Amino acid sequence: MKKLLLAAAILVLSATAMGANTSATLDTAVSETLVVTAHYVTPIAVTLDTAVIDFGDVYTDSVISPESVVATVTGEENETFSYTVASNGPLSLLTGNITGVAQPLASGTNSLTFNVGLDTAKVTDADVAETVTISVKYDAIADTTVTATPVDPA
Amino acid sequence: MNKIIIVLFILSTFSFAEDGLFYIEGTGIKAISMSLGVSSIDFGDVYNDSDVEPVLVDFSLNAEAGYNYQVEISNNDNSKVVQISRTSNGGYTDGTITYKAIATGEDEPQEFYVDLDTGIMTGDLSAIITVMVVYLEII
Repeated sequence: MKKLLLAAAILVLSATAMGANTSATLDTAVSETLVVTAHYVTPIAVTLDTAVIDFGDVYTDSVISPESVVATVTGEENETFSYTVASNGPLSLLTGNITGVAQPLASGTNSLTFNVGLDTAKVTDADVAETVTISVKYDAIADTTVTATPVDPA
Repeated sequence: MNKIIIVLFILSTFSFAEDGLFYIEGTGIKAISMSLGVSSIDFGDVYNDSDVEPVLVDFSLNAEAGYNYQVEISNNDNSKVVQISRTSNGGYTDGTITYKAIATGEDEPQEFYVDLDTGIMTGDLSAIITVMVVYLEII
C-alpha cells in the first residue's frame, strides 16, 4: 500500500511537469515549387515521289523535258524549316522550289515541287549519273530558359 | 525510513495549503523560412537524342540555430524524365532526394540540379518540383 501511494504521488507530479506542444507553424513543413517544362519535337523528315530519273539516250543537241519531283516534308506542327535542293554534278538543271527558308508546317506537312532537267550541251561521251539531294532543317530549336523567382519588394 | 518519506511526501502534496513555486520555461523558435531562386525551367524543344545542360536551382533556408531539419526535394513527373541531383555531374534520380542538416540560424544557401532523361521522352513535359523543409524535432 505504501508503495502504491508513493507511485501515485510521483505520477501526479510527473503529469504536472509534462506537456505536449503543438504549433502549426513549427510542426508544418515549409515548401516551395518550381515548374519544369519541355516541348517534345517530332523530327523533321522528307520523302520524294521519285527515286530515279532516266533521261534515256541523249546527245549534246537533245532537247528533253524536265521531270517534276514532289518532296513531302513532315515535322512538328507550326514549326518552320529551311531546305535546299542540289546536285552533285554539273549536268542536272534544277528549277522550281530548290531553296527556301521559313517554310511553314502548318499541319505538320508541306509539299515542295522542283524540276530536274539535263544540260545536254555538257554531255560528253561518258554516261551521266548524278545524285540530287534535298536537305531540310528546322529553322529554330528552342534552348533552355530559366526564370528566376521574382524578388518580393520588402 | 521508508515510512518517513512516504508520510512527508503525502503531507506536502495533499495536506497543506502553502505557497508553491514552480518554473515555466520555453524556447522561442523561429519558423523555417525558405526562398527558391528559380520559378520555372523551360528546356525548350527536345527530342530523344537531345542533350540538355543541367540547370542549377539555388535556394536559401533559415532555421533556428542548433535545430535539425530535413529537406525533401520531389517531383510529380510519373514519366521519370525529370532528374534531380545535389551535384551537377552525377547522382541523378527520378525519385526524391532527402537529407538532414543542423541549422545555423543564418541564411544557408543550398542547391540542386535539374536534368532530363530525354531518351525516354514520348511527349511534352510539364512537371512540378517541390522543395519541402521541416524541423525534425520540436520539443
